Amino acid sequence: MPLLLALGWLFLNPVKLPPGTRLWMLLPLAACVAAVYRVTRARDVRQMPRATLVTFLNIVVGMALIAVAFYLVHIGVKRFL
Amino acid sequence: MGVQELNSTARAIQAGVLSWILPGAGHFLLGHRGLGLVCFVAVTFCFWTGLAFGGMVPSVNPVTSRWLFLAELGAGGYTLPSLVISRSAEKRVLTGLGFGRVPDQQTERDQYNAYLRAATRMGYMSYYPESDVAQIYLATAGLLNLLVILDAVARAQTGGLPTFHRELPPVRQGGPGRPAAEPGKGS
Repeated sequence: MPLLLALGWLFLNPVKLPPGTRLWMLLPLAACVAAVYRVTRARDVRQMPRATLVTFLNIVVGMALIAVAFYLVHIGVKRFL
Repeated sequence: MGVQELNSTARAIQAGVLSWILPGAGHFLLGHRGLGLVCFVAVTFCFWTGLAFGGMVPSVNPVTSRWLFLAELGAGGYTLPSLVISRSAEKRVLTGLGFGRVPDQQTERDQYNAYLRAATRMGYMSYYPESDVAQIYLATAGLLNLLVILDAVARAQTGGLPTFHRELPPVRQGGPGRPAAEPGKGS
């Protein structure tokens, strides 16, 4: 019962995100997306760890490259306009 | 429709509904216990992390967050009990204000702001950046579970092959990617 009350309190009263951690919240989300995506393509669970890691890295590196590209566009626009 | 086809359809429906109620349960039913566990951990982590940062009242709310609620419905077994708790907490806020329902944000702005202030005082509301993170996590959890449901249904109908089995390289006998598992004997 105390556990249920604690869980109820936790999910009714939102917790604060520690400062500077918003960007890092991408990593667990990308890991979950990679795992489920790989489940839909796995014949066997033994194929999962490596495939999930590759997909996770693809997502994270891809997002980082997109962020860098947008940053460069932003810098370019600021300089020339 | 033959008996075998009927069985496979019934099994597909069973797997789909089970996955909707509890992520990964459909895979577990079909014998893919490892894959079921992966689905369960991934979707459950996303959903409850989102709820912890967003709070039930603003995050599971078909009136104030209609589209988010639709996305969350993909994980129905988590969303519907959360909706019951969210509605009862919201009712407490509305009763305290003497309102019968959540005021309309456009036409009843003052009442809506009073509702927001009361819910914030009770600690139910979340704001940027927590609400952003919560929305992304919750919507992703619901939509990921749709993938899980589709995969469970596909595996039930094909005797254990994944959704995208046509795109996969052919199986090497004795290799790590062994042929599709029989239902009930899988990974």
